[in-house]
Amino acid sequence: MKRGIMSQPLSDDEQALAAGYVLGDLSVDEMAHVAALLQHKPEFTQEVNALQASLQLIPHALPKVEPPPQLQASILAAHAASLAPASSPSSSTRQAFPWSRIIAGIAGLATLLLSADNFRLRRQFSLAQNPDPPESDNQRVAAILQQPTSRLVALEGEDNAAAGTLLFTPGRWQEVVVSLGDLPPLPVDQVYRMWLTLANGEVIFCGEFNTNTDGAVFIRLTPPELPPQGVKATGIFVTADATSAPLTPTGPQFMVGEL
Amino acid sequence: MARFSTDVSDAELIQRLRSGQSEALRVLYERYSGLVYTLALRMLSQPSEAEDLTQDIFLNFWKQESFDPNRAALSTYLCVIVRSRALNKIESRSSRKRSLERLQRLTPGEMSAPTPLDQASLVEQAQTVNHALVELPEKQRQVLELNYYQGMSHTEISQQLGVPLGTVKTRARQGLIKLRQRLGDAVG
Repeated sequence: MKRGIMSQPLSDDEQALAAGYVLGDLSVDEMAHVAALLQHKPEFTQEVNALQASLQLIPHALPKVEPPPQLQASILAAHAASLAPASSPSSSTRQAFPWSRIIAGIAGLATLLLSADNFRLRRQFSLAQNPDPPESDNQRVAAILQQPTSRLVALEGEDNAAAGTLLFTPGRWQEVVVSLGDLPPLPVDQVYRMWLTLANGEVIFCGEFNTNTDGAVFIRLTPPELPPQGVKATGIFVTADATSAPLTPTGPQFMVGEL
Repeated sequence: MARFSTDVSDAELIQRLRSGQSEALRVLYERYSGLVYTLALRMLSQPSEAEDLTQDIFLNFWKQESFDPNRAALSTYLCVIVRSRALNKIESRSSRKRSLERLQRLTPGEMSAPTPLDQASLVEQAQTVNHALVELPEKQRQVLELNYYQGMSHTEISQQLGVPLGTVKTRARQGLIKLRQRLGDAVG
């Protein structure tokens, strides 16, 4: 009944041993037997591999459940954030910004407002229409401004009087602050949307907002999508869209700015 | 809106990710997030825990130099580490002591080599495995799933189901053998 050990198909017992080995339920005696088979019988090893592959495929049969949509943006933002400290100091594309060294030392927002000499930004701080607690946003603005490479970029209205500022840190697009004024308030079914233009021609959605009754906006945006590594952002623009419109930059451009 | 061609291989994407191209992570996420999240949710039951685990997996798996995408299918690798970490979570929140050596946690070094089925799309893999699993007798499939998804030892399964340990072992072994036979050449 005992068969030779080389070049033989597996017996039922050997196949059961292979399955037990993969399932991790062998007794001590069975384990010793398996050790010998693994050493001397290639067919046994092959069967163990096939059984292991079969076991590992079990989860593939689960009915698919898609993760919540915001999880992707959260993961990509966390990944970008993890790269930022290593890449920014050595970045050869650091933008020239005459205030950067001064701003780096600014500990608080009041100092910023004096240093920046940006009347509109200062004015709109007081006008801020803001869904977050003021302290929170002020702290975030201060944190961005303390980055040596942080930048303020002017946004100007296209055939309208709107003007404003975008505050950001190059390479860290997961958080930007927008301060705009003299934008016409929109009907309730419309919204302003901000978009980032990339050097490769693609456009990324940054976020959406509405003005207060004075036509002013001061808001922190956390773009759900980030520019790919190595692709520069070249411009920014604001559109007015229906709230139900898809996230594509098809609405009329109200404001533009160059980075 | 993938900016890499959709047919870029997993190995290539991981290489790009390791060289700092974040876009590769987006493509890998779009390719495998459904599989990872589905398994995490099946094992942990809580969506918030499944999300945390999914995030942890995608932020870290490619950093492990021990993983060589040319030697093991990425889908297999991801399932192995999701299962392993989910079992850790289940155990940490469980008041009873589990028998660790029975959990049969495969480490990346113990993973099976790529099989012919790994060359198929995830949808094709799902269909193939599903067809094979539904053909198993219910009692055999039940034991395999309790072991796989809840990390229960055969002794624990025996106690939970109220059947002898020997019966549980036989069901598990026979179930796995039948699954392997149904999958046939797809698993080598």
